[in-house]
Amino acid sequence: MGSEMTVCFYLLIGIGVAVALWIGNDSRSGVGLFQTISAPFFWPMYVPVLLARRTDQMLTSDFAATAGSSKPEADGMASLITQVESELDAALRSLNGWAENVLSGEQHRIAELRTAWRQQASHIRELDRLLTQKTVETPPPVQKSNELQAVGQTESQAPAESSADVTDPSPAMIESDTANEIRMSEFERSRAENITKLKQLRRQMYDDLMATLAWVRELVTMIHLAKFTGAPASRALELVRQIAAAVEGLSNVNRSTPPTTT
Amino acid sequence: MNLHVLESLRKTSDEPHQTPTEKAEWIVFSDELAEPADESAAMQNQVIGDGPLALVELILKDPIRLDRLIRKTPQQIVLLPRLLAISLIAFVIFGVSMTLVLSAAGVWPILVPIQDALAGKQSLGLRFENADTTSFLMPWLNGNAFKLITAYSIGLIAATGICLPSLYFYGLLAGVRMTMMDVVIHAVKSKAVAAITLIGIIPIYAAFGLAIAIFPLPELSRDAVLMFGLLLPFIAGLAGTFSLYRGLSTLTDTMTAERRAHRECFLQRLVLSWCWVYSAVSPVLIFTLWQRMQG
Repeated sequence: MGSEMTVCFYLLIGIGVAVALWIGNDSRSGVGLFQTISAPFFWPMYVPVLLARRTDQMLTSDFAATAGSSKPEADGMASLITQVESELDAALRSLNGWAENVLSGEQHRIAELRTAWRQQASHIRELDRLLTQKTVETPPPVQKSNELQAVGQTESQAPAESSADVTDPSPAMIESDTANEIRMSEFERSRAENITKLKQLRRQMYDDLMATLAWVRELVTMIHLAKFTGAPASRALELVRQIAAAVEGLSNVNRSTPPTTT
Repeated sequence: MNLHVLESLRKTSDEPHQTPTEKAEWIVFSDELAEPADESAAMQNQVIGDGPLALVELILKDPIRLDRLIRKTPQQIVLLPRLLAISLIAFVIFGVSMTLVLSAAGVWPILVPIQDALAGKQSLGLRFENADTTSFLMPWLNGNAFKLITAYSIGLIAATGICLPSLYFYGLLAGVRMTMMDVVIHAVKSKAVAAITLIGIIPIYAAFGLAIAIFPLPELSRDAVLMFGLLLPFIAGLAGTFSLYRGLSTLTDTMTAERRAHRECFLQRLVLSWCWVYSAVSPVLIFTLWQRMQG
Protein backbone atom coordinates (compact mmCIF):
# COMPACT_ATOMS: atom_id res chain seq x y z
CA MET A 1 0.00 0.00 0.00
CA GLY A 2 1.55 3.29 -1.03
CA SER A 3 1.66 6.40 1.03
CA GLU A 4 -1.16 7.93 -0.99
CA MET A 5 -3.47 5.05 -0.11
CA THR A 6 -2.44 5.31 3.54
CA VAL A 7 -3.26 9.02 3.55
CA CYS A 8 -6.63 8.31 1.91
CA PHE A 9 -7.57 5.75 4.57
CA TYR A 10 -6.31 8.03 7.31
CA LEU A 11 -8.45 10.90 6.04
CA LEU A 12 -11.48 8.66 5.56
CA ILE A 13 -11.33 7.54 9.19
CA GLY A 14 -10.75 11.14 10.19
CA ILE A 15 -13.86 12.28 8.33
CA GLY A 16 -15.88 9.64 10.16
CA VAL A 17 -14.56 10.84 13.51
CA ALA A 18 -15.29 14.44 12.50
CA VAL A 19 -18.89 13.58 11.68
CA ALA A 20 -19.28 11.77 15.02
CA LEU A 21 -17.86 14.78 16.87
CA TRP A 22 -20.17 17.15 15.03
CA ILE A 23 -23.23 15.08 15.84
CA GLY A 24 -22.16 14.60 19.46
CA ASN A 25 -21.46 18.26 20.16
CA ASP A 26 -24.30 19.89 22.05
CA SER A 27 -23.38 23.39 21.01
CA ARG A 28 -22.24 24.56 17.60
CA SER A 29 -19.63 26.88 19.06
CA GLY A 30 -16.23 27.81 17.69
CA VAL A 31 -14.62 25.03 19.69
CA GLY A 32 -16.97 22.47 18.17
CA LEU A 33 -16.27 23.80 14.70
CA PHE A 34 -12.53 23.62 15.32
CA GLN A 35 -12.91 20.05 16.55
CA THR A 36 -14.78 19.08 13.40
CA ILE A 37 -12.26 20.74 11.08
CA SER A 38 -9.17 19.38 12.81
CA ALA A 39 -10.53 15.88 13.39
CA PRO A 40 -9.68 14.52 9.89
CA PHE A 41 -6.02 15.34 10.54
CA PHE A 42 -5.74 14.60 14.27
CA TRP A 43 -8.45 11.99 14.82
CA PRO A 44 -6.24 9.71 17.03
CA MET A 45 -6.55 12.40 19.69
CA TYR A 46 -10.30 12.75 19.36
CA VAL A 47 -11.20 9.06 19.52
CA PRO A 48 -10.71 8.92 23.34
CA VAL A 49 -12.96 11.98 23.59
CA LEU A 50 -15.71 10.15 21.71
CA LEU A 51 -15.27 7.05 23.88
CA ALA A 52 -15.29 9.11 27.09
CA ARG A 53 -18.50 10.83 26.03
CA ARG A 54 -20.08 7.50 25.08
CA THR A 55 -19.19 5.96 28.47
CA ASP A 56 -20.74 8.92 30.32
CA GLN A 57 -23.90 8.71 28.21
CA MET A 58 -24.27 4.97 28.83
CA LEU A 59 -23.85 5.37 32.59
CA THR A 60 -26.40 8.20 32.66
CA SER A 61 -28.95 6.35 30.51
CA ASP A 62 -28.59 3.12 32.50
CA PHE A 63 -29.12 5.00 35.73
CA ALA A 64 -32.13 6.86 34.33
CA ALA A 65 -33.66 3.65 32.94
CA THR A 66 -33.33 1.76 36.19
CA ALA A 67 -34.52 4.73 38.19
CA GLY A 68 -37.55 5.23 35.94
CA SER A 69 -39.08 1.76 36.34
CA SER A 70 -39.12 1.29 40.08
CA LYS A 71 -41.22 1.27 43.19
CA PRO A 72 -41.67 4.44 45.26
CA GLU A 73 -39.03 3.23 47.71
CA ALA A 74 -36.57 2.67 44.87
CA ASP A 75 -37.41 6.12 43.48
CA GLY A 76 -36.53 7.40 46.92
CA MET A 77 -33.15 5.69 46.53
CA ALA A 78 -32.52 7.48 43.25
CA SER A 79 -33.45 10.85 44.68
CA LEU A 80 -31.30 10.25 47.76
CA ILE A 81 -28.33 9.20 45.64
CA THR A 82 -28.77 12.32 43.52
CA GLN A 83 -28.90 14.46 46.64
CA VAL A 84 -25.79 12.86 48.15
CA GLU A 85 -23.90 13.23 44.87
CA SER A 86 -24.77 16.92 44.68
CA GLU A 87 -23.66 17.42 48.28
CA LEU A 88 -20.43 15.53 47.54
CA ASP A 89 -19.81 17.64 44.44
CA ALA A 90 -20.33 20.82 46.45
CA ALA A 91 -17.89 19.63 49.11
CA LEU A 92 -15.26 18.67 46.54
CA ARG A 93 -15.66 22.04 44.79
CA SER A 94 -15.12 23.74 48.11
CA LEU A 95 -11.63 22.22 48.17
CA ASN A 96 -10.61 24.79 45.54
CA GLY A 97 -8.35 27.34 47.11
CA TRP A 98 -7.89 25.24 50.25
CA ALA A 99 -6.77 21.71 49.45
CA GLU A 100 -7.05 21.27 45.68
CA ASN A 101 -4.31 18.67 45.33
CA VAL A 102 -6.14 16.38 47.77
CA LEU A 103 -8.63 15.36 45.13
CA SER A 104 -6.04 14.43 42.52
CA GLY A 105 -5.19 11.04 43.96
CA GLU A 106 -8.72 9.98 44.88
CA GLN A 107 -10.69 10.96 41.80
CA HIS A 108 -10.83 7.47 40.39
CA ARG A 109 -12.00 5.95 43.67
CA ILE A 110 -14.68 8.57 44.13
CA ALA A 111 -15.88 7.90 40.58
CA GLU A 112 -15.96 4.20 41.45
CA LEU A 113 -17.96 5.03 44.57
CA ARG A 114 -20.61 6.81 42.50
CA THR A 115 -20.80 3.82 40.15
CA ALA A 116 -20.91 1.37 43.06
CA TRP A 117 -23.87 2.90 44.83
CA ARG A 118 -25.79 3.20 41.58
CA GLN A 119 -25.10 -0.47 40.89
CA GLN A 120 -26.22 -1.29 44.42
CA ALA A 121 -29.48 0.59 43.86
CA SER A 122 -29.93 -1.20 40.53
CA HIS A 123 -29.50 -4.59 42.22
CA ILE A 124 -32.03 -3.64 44.88
CA ARG A 125 -34.55 -2.68 42.19
CA GLU A 126 -33.97 -5.96 40.38
CA LEU A 127 -34.61 -7.83 43.61
CA ASP A 128 -37.76 -5.80 44.14
CA ARG A 129 -39.02 -6.71 40.68
CA LEU A 130 -38.14 -10.35 41.25
CA LEU A 131 -39.86 -10.52 44.63
CA THR A 132 -43.04 -8.91 43.34
CA GLN A 133 -43.49 -11.46 40.59
CA LYS A 134 -46.20 -14.08 41.20
CA THR A 135 -43.80 -16.95 40.53
CA VAL A 136 -41.83 -16.07 43.62
CA GLU A 137 -44.75 -15.38 45.92
CA THR A 138 -44.39 -17.37 49.11
CA PRO A 139 -47.32 -19.81 49.27
CA PRO A 140 -48.81 -20.88 52.62
CA PRO A 141 -47.05 -24.25 53.04
CA VAL A 142 -49.64 -26.12 55.15
CA GLN A 143 -52.69 -25.17 53.05
CA LYS A 144 -50.90 -26.03 49.87
CA SER A 145 -50.19 -29.62 50.95
CA ASN A 146 -53.74 -30.00 52.15
CA GLU A 147 -54.97 -28.66 48.84
CA LEU A 148 -52.74 -31.07 47.05
CA GLN A 149 -54.04 -33.87 49.16
CA ALA A 150 -57.60 -32.70 48.53
CA VAL A 151 -56.91 -32.38 44.83
CA GLY A 152 -55.28 -35.77 44.83
CA GLN A 153 -58.18 -37.33 46.63
CA THR A 154 -60.66 -35.58 44.32
CA GLU A 155 -58.78 -36.72 41.25
CA SER A 156 -58.53 -40.19 42.58
CA GLN A 157 -62.20 -40.20 43.49
CA ALA A 158 -63.53 -38.67 40.25
CA PRO A 159 -62.70 -41.53 37.88
CA ALA A 160 -64.20 -43.96 40.38
CA GLU A 161 -67.44 -41.96 40.50
CA SER A 162 -67.69 -41.57 36.75
CA SER A 163 -66.95 -45.11 35.80
CA ALA A 164 -68.31 -48.23 37.35
CA ASP A 165 -65.42 -50.35 36.17
CA VAL A 166 -62.62 -48.50 38.12
CA THR A 167 -61.28 -50.39 41.03
CA ASP A 168 -60.16 -48.84 44.38
CA PRO A 169 -56.57 -47.47 44.45
CA SER A 170 -54.04 -50.00 45.58
CA PRO A 171 -51.85 -49.41 48.65
CA ALA A 172 -48.82 -48.91 46.37
CA MET A 173 -50.50 -46.09 44.52
CA ILE A 174 -51.49 -44.44 47.76
CA GLU A 175 -47.91 -44.71 49.04
CA SER A 176 -46.58 -43.22 45.78
CA ASP A 177 -48.98 -40.31 45.98
CA THR A 178 -47.95 -39.66 49.57
CA ALA A 179 -44.25 -39.65 48.64
CA ASN A 180 -44.94 -37.20 45.82
CA GLU A 181 -46.82 -34.96 48.19
CA ILE A 182 -43.95 -35.05 50.67
CA ARG A 183 -41.44 -34.16 47.94
CA MET A 184 -43.67 -31.34 46.71
CA SER A 185 -43.98 -29.94 50.22
CA GLU A 186 -40.20 -30.13 50.67
CA PHE A 187 -39.67 -28.30 47.39
CA GLU A 188 -42.13 -25.66 48.44
CA ARG A 189 -40.48 -25.31 51.84
CA SER A 190 -37.03 -24.87 50.29
CA ARG A 191 -38.45 -22.40 47.81
CA ALA A 192 -39.98 -20.42 50.64
CA GLU A 193 -36.65 -20.43 52.50
CA ASN A 194 -34.84 -19.14 49.39
CA ILE A 195 -37.39 -16.40 48.95
CA THR A 196 -37.01 -15.43 52.60
CA LYS A 197 -33.24 -15.28 52.15
CA LEU A 198 -33.68 -13.15 49.05
CA LYS A 199 -35.76 -10.75 51.09
CA GLN A 200 -33.13 -10.72 53.82
CA LEU A 201 -30.43 -10.07 51.22
CA ARG A 202 -32.44 -7.24 49.76
CA ARG A 203 -32.89 -5.73 53.20
CA GLN A 204 -29.17 -6.06 53.92
CA MET A 205 -28.21 -4.42 50.62
CA TYR A 206 -30.66 -1.60 51.19
CA ASP A 207 -29.43 -1.00 54.75
CA ASP A 208 -25.80 -1.01 53.60
CA LEU A 209 -26.55 1.46 50.83
CA MET A 210 -28.39 3.79 53.20
CA ALA A 211 -25.59 3.51 55.75
CA THR A 212 -22.97 4.31 53.10
CA LEU A 213 -24.93 7.32 51.87
CA ALA A 214 -25.34 8.55 55.45
CA TRP A 215 -21.62 7.98 56.07
CA VAL A 216 -20.70 10.03 53.01
CA ARG A 217 -23.10 12.82 53.98
CA GLU A 218 -21.52 13.03 57.42
CA LEU A 219 -18.04 13.18 55.93
CA VAL A 220 -19.19 15.90 53.53
CA THR A 221 -20.36 18.03 56.46
CA MET A 222 -17.04 17.39 58.18
CA ILE A 223 -15.26 18.75 55.09
CA HIS A 224 -17.27 21.96 55.23
CA LEU A 225 -16.69 22.20 58.96
CA ALA A 226 -12.97 21.66 58.57
CA LYS A 227 -12.71 24.29 55.85
CA PHE A 228 -14.54 27.00 57.75
CA THR A 229 -12.74 26.28 61.02
CA GLY A 230 -9.40 26.70 59.27
CA ALA A 231 -8.23 23.11 59.46
CA PRO A 232 -5.09 22.20 57.51
CA ALA A 233 -5.24 20.52 54.14
CA SER A 234 -4.23 17.22 55.71
CA ARG A 235 -7.62 17.11 57.36
CA ALA A 236 -9.28 17.39 53.95
CA LEU A 237 -7.04 14.62 52.66
CA GLU A 238 -8.08 12.37 55.51
CA LEU A 239 -11.79 13.03 54.94
CA VAL A 240 -11.60 12.59 51.17
CA ARG A 241 -9.77 9.31 51.62
CA GLN A 242 -12.49 8.08 53.94
CA ILE A 243 -15.11 9.00 51.37
CA ALA A 244 -13.17 7.12 48.70
CA ALA A 245 -12.77 4.17 51.07
CA ALA A 246 -16.54 3.79 51.22
CA VAL A 247 -16.36 2.16 47.80
CA GLU A 248 -14.70 -0.88 49.37
CA GLY A 249 -17.67 -1.52 51.62
CA LEU A 250 -20.10 -1.35 48.74
CA SER A 251 -17.84 -3.53 46.58
CA ASN A 252 -17.81 -6.21 49.27
CA VAL A 253 -21.60 -6.21 49.41
CA ASN A 254 -21.90 -6.41 45.63
CA ARG A 255 -19.49 -9.33 45.54
CA SER A 256 -21.30 -11.25 48.32
CA THR A 257 -23.16 -14.28 46.97
CA PRO A 258 -26.70 -15.06 48.10
CA PRO A 259 -27.01 -17.86 50.66
CA THR A 260 -27.53 -21.28 49.12
CA THR A 261 -30.00 -23.89 50.31
CA THR A 262 -29.02 -27.41 51.32
CA MET B 1 -16.85 1.40 56.39
CA ASN B 2 -14.68 1.69 59.50
CA LEU B 3 -16.77 2.89 62.42
CA HIS B 4 -13.68 3.41 64.56
CA VAL B 5 -12.27 5.79 62.00
CA LEU B 6 -15.57 7.66 61.83
CA GLU B 7 -15.61 7.97 65.61
CA SER B 8 -12.07 9.34 65.65
CA LEU B 9 -12.96 11.80 62.91
CA ARG B 10 -15.96 12.96 64.92
CA LYS B 11 -13.79 13.52 67.98
CA THR B 12 -11.18 15.48 66.08
CA SER B 13 -13.84 17.70 64.55
CA ASP B 14 -15.09 18.83 67.96
CA GLU B 15 -12.33 21.41 68.48
CA PRO B 16 -14.62 24.48 68.11
CA HIS B 17 -16.57 23.34 71.18
CA GLN B 18 -13.57 23.23 73.51
CA THR B 19 -12.59 25.64 76.33
CA PRO B 20 -12.56 29.39 75.65
CA THR B 21 -8.75 29.71 75.77
CA GLU B 22 -8.31 26.86 73.34
CA LYS B 23 -11.08 28.28 71.25
CA ALA B 24 -9.28 31.63 71.08
CA GLU B 25 -6.09 29.89 69.95
CA TRP B 26 -8.10 27.98 67.38
CA ILE B 27 -9.57 31.19 66.03
CA VAL B 28 -6.11 32.75 65.72
CA PHE B 29 -4.87 29.61 64.00
CA SER B 30 -7.76 29.73 61.56
CA ASP B 31 -7.12 33.43 60.81
CA GLU B 32 -3.50 32.66 59.98
CA LEU B 33 -4.56 29.93 57.64
CA ALA B 34 -7.27 32.00 55.98
CA GLU B 35 -4.86 34.42 54.29
CA PRO B 36 -3.03 31.98 52.01
CA ALA B 37 -6.32 30.43 50.93
CA ASP B 38 -7.76 33.86 50.12
CA GLU B 39 -4.65 34.87 48.22
CA SER B 40 -4.56 31.68 46.19
CA ALA B 41 -8.29 31.91 45.47
CA ALA B 42 -7.87 35.51 44.30
CA MET B 43 -4.93 34.53 42.14
CA GLN B 44 -6.87 31.71 40.60
CA ASN B 45 -9.73 34.03 39.80
CA GLN B 46 -7.26 36.28 38.01
CA VAL B 47 -5.76 33.39 36.04
CA ILE B 48 -8.85 31.49 35.06
CA GLY B 49 -11.08 32.99 32.46
CA ASP B 50 -12.78 32.25 29.17
CA GLY B 51 -11.10 31.74 25.84
CA PRO B 52 -7.77 30.25 24.75
CA LEU B 53 -5.72 33.20 26.09
CA ALA B 54 -6.84 32.38 29.61
CA LEU B 55 -5.48 28.90 29.07
CA VAL B 56 -2.20 30.35 27.77
CA GLU B 57 -1.92 32.38 30.95
CA LEU B 58 -2.57 29.29 33.01
CA ILE B 59 0.17 27.42 31.13
CA LEU B 60 2.64 30.23 31.79
CA LYS B 61 1.69 31.30 35.32
CA ASP B 62 0.37 28.21 37.10
CA PRO B 63 1.42 24.99 35.34
CA ILE B 64 0.96 22.95 38.52
CA ARG B 65 -2.66 23.95 38.70
CA LEU B 66 -3.06 23.05 35.05
CA ASP B 67 -1.72 19.58 35.84
CA ARG B 68 -4.41 19.24 38.51
CA LEU B 69 -7.10 20.62 36.20
CA ILE B 70 -6.47 18.17 33.38
CA ARG B 71 -6.98 15.20 35.71
CA LYS B 72 -10.72 15.90 35.89
CA THR B 73 -12.59 14.07 33.13
CA PRO B 74 -15.09 16.84 32.23
CA GLN B 75 -12.23 19.34 31.99
CA GLN B 76 -10.28 16.99 29.75
CA ILE B 77 -13.00 16.99 27.10
CA VAL B 78 -13.20 20.79 27.22
CA LEU B 79 -9.46 21.50 27.34
CA LEU B 80 -8.28 19.08 24.64
CA PRO B 81 -9.41 21.10 21.60
CA ARG B 82 -8.22 24.34 23.19
CA LEU B 83 -4.75 22.98 23.86
CA LEU B 84 -4.66 21.60 20.33
CA ALA B 85 -5.67 24.99 18.94
CA ILE B 86 -2.90 26.70 20.92
CA SER B 87 -0.35 24.26 19.50
CA LEU B 88 -1.57 24.66 15.93
CA ILE B 89 -1.62 28.45 16.07
CA ALA B 90 1.86 28.57 17.57
CA PHE B 91 3.32 26.23 14.94
CA VAL B 92 1.66 28.25 12.16
CA ILE B 93 3.26 31.40 13.58
CA PHE B 94 6.60 29.57 13.60
CA GLY B 95 6.12 28.56 9.97
CA VAL B 96 5.32 32.15 8.97
CA SER B 97 8.36 33.41 10.89
CA MET B 98 10.70 30.89 9.26
CA THR B 99 9.31 31.79 5.85
CA LEU B 100 10.08 35.46 6.50
CA VAL B 101 13.60 34.64 7.66
CA LEU B 102 14.26 32.42 4.63
CA SER B 103 12.82 35.07 2.31
CA ALA B 104 15.03 37.71 3.92
CA ALA B 105 18.05 35.44 3.46
CA GLY B 106 17.12 34.82 -0.19
CA VAL B 107 17.34 31.03 0.08
CA TRP B 108 14.95 28.14 0.31
CA PRO B 109 15.57 24.62 1.66
CA ILE B 110 15.48 21.79 -0.88
CA LEU B 111 14.75 18.36 0.56
CA VAL B 112 16.10 15.10 -0.81
CA PRO B 113 14.23 11.82 -0.23
CA ILE B 114 15.63 9.98 2.74
CA GLN B 115 16.19 6.79 0.81
CA ASP B 116 18.29 8.65 -1.78
CA ALA B 117 20.38 10.23 0.91
CA LEU B 118 20.89 6.89 2.62
CA ALA B 119 21.71 5.21 -0.69
CA GLY B 120 24.40 7.76 -1.33
CA LYS B 121 22.76 9.26 -4.40
CA GLN B 122 22.73 12.65 -2.73
CA SER B 123 25.22 13.95 -0.25
CA LEU B 124 22.80 15.75 2.03
CA GLY B 125 19.11 15.32 2.89
CA LEU B 126 18.53 19.07 3.06
CA ARG B 127 20.39 21.93 1.44
CA PHE B 128 19.74 25.62 1.03
CA GLU B 129 19.63 26.95 -2.51
CA ASN B 130 19.25 30.47 -3.75
CA ALA B 131 15.60 31.22 -4.21
CA ASP B 132 13.79 33.42 -6.67
CA THR B 133 14.28 36.90 -5.21
CA THR B 134 12.11 38.80 -7.68
CA SER B 135 9.52 39.23 -4.98
CA PHE B 136 9.56 38.95 -1.22
CA LEU B 137 6.23 37.16 -1.51
CA MET B 138 7.50 34.55 -3.95
CA PRO B 139 7.48 31.68 -1.38
CA TRP B 140 3.81 32.46 -0.78
CA LEU B 141 3.00 32.71 -4.46
CA ASN B 142 4.64 29.43 -5.43
CA GLY B 143 3.26 27.61 -2.40
CA ASN B 144 6.57 26.82 -0.70
CA ALA B 145 5.60 28.74 2.42
CA PHE B 146 2.35 26.82 2.81
CA LYS B 147 4.20 23.54 2.41
CA LEU B 148 6.63 24.47 5.17
CA ILE B 149 3.83 25.59 7.48
CA THR B 150 1.73 22.51 6.79
CA ALA B 151 4.64 20.11 7.26
CA TYR B 152 5.59 21.53 10.64
CA SER B 153 2.04 22.05 11.93
CA ILE B 154 0.74 18.62 11.00
CA GLY B 155 4.00 16.76 11.48
CA LEU B 156 4.68 17.90 15.03
CA ILE B 157 1.18 17.10 16.24
CA ALA B 158 0.65 13.95 14.16
CA ALA B 159 3.90 12.54 15.54
CA THR B 160 2.37 12.86 19.00
CA GLY B 161 -0.63 10.89 17.79
CA ILE B 162 1.63 8.19 16.36
CA CYS B 163 3.49 7.83 19.65
CA LEU B 164 0.40 7.90 21.91
CA PRO B 165 -0.14 4.13 22.13
CA SER B 166 3.43 3.59 23.29
CA LEU B 167 2.96 6.17 26.05
CA TYR B 168 -0.21 4.40 27.16
CA PHE B 169 1.56 1.05 27.36
CA TYR B 170 4.50 2.59 29.17
CA GLY B 171 2.04 3.88 31.76
CA LEU B 172 0.51 0.43 32.11
CA LEU B 173 3.98 -1.07 32.52
CA ALA B 174 4.72 1.39 35.29
CA GLY B 175 1.45 0.50 37.04
CA VAL B 176 -0.14 3.93 36.79
CA ARG B 177 -3.92 4.02 36.73
CA MET B 178 -4.64 6.19 33.74
CA THR B 179 -7.02 6.03 30.82
CA MET B 180 -6.27 6.73 27.18
CA MET B 181 -7.90 10.11 27.68
CA ASP B 182 -5.36 10.90 30.41
CA VAL B 183 -2.54 9.98 28.04
CA VAL B 184 -3.92 12.15 25.24
CA ILE B 185 -4.51 15.20 27.41
CA HIS B 186 -1.05 15.05 28.98
CA ALA B 187 0.60 14.65 25.58
CA VAL B 188 -1.40 17.52 24.05
CA LYS B 189 -0.70 19.68 27.10
CA SER B 190 3.02 19.11 26.73
CA LYS B 191 2.69 19.98 23.04
CA ALA B 192 0.96 23.26 23.94
CA VAL B 193 3.71 24.07 26.45
CA ALA B 194 6.36 23.43 23.79
CA ALA B 195 4.41 25.57 21.31
CA ILE B 196 4.20 28.53 23.70
CA THR B 197 7.91 28.18 24.47
CA LEU B 198 8.58 28.24 20.74
CA ILE B 199 6.63 31.50 20.43
CA GLY B 200 8.88 32.93 23.10
CA ILE B 201 12.05 31.82 21.33
CA ILE B 202 11.06 33.04 17.85
CA PRO B 203 11.72 36.78 18.46
CA ILE B 204 15.21 35.96 19.74
CA TYR B 205 15.91 33.83 16.70
CA ALA B 206 14.43 36.44 14.38
CA ALA B 207 17.20 38.80 15.45
CA PHE B 208 19.79 36.25 14.32
CA GLY B 209 17.83 35.66 11.15
CA LEU B 210 17.81 39.32 10.27
CA ALA B 211 21.57 39.40 10.75
CA ILE B 212 21.85 37.00 7.80
CA ALA B 213 20.07 39.51 5.59
CA ILE B 214 22.06 42.47 6.85
CA PHE B 215 25.58 41.14 7.27
CA PRO B 216 27.47 39.25 4.54
CA LEU B 217 28.02 35.91 6.30
CA PRO B 218 29.83 32.90 4.83
CA GLU B 219 27.58 30.31 3.29
CA LEU B 220 28.36 27.77 5.99
CA SER B 221 27.44 30.17 8.78
CA ARG B 222 24.29 31.17 6.96
CA ASP B 223 23.22 27.52 6.54
CA ALA B 224 24.01 26.80 10.21
CA VAL B 225 21.80 29.65 11.40
CA LEU B 226 18.97 28.61 9.10
CA MET B 227 19.28 24.96 10.12
CA PHE B 228 19.16 26.06 13.76
CA GLY B 229 15.92 27.83 12.98
CA LEU B 230 14.39 24.73 11.44
CA LEU B 231 15.35 22.80 14.59
CA LEU B 232 13.81 25.36 16.97
CA PRO B 233 10.63 23.34 17.60
CA PHE B 234 12.73 20.48 18.95
CA ILE B 235 14.67 22.82 21.23
CA ALA B 236 11.39 24.24 22.52
CA GLY B 237 10.20 20.68 22.86
CA LEU B 238 12.50 20.31 25.86
CA ALA B 239 10.03 22.43 27.81
CA GLY B 240 7.22 20.19 26.65
CA THR B 241 9.21 17.15 27.70
CA PHE B 242 9.63 18.55 31.20
CA SER B 243 5.92 19.40 31.32
CA LEU B 244 5.00 15.83 30.35
CA TYR B 245 7.47 14.44 32.87
CA ARG B 246 6.00 16.57 35.65
CA GLY B 247 2.40 15.87 34.67
CA LEU B 248 2.75 12.09 34.53
CA SER B 249 4.76 12.09 37.76
CA THR B 250 1.69 13.43 39.56
CA LEU B 251 -0.19 10.31 38.47
CA THR B 252 1.95 8.19 40.79
CA ASP B 253 -0.46 9.09 43.59
CA THR B 254 -2.86 6.59 42.01
CA MET B 255 -0.46 3.84 43.04
CA THR B 256 -0.36 2.33 46.48
CA ALA B 257 2.38 3.64 48.74
CA GLU B 258 4.35 0.42 48.53
CA ARG B 259 4.16 0.24 44.77
CA ARG B 260 5.01 3.91 44.40
CA ALA B 261 8.32 3.38 46.17
CA HIS B 262 9.32 0.78 43.58
CA ARG B 263 7.70 2.13 40.45
CA GLU B 264 7.98 5.91 40.56
CA CYS B 265 11.52 5.97 39.26
CA PHE B 266 10.59 3.44 36.58
CA LEU B 267 7.73 5.68 35.41
CA GLN B 268 10.04 8.66 35.14
CA ARG B 269 12.50 6.71 33.02
CA LEU B 270 9.71 5.44 30.81
CA VAL B 271 8.51 9.00 30.21
CA LEU B 272 12.02 10.03 29.19
CA SER B 273 12.21 7.01 26.88
CA TRP B 274 8.95 8.04 25.27
CA CYS B 275 10.33 11.53 24.71
CA TRP B 276 13.30 10.03 22.93
CA VAL B 277 10.93 7.99 20.76
CA TYR B 278 8.98 11.13 19.90
CA SER B 279 12.19 13.03 19.13
CA ALA B 280 13.09 10.30 16.65
CA VAL B 281 9.65 10.09 15.01
CA SER B 282 8.73 13.77 14.63
CA PRO B 283 11.68 15.01 12.50
CA VAL B 284 11.31 12.03 10.18
CA LEU B 285 7.58 12.71 9.81
CA ILE B 286 8.09 16.43 9.20
CA PHE B 287 10.84 15.77 6.68
CA THR B 288 8.77 13.14 4.86
CA LEU B 289 5.65 15.32 4.67
CA TRP B 290 7.62 18.33 3.51
CA GLN B 291 9.59 16.40 0.92
CA ARG B 292 6.48 14.72 -0.47
CA MET B 293 4.70 18.06 -0.78
CA GLN B 294 7.72 19.60 -2.49
CA GLY B 295 7.77 16.76 -4.97
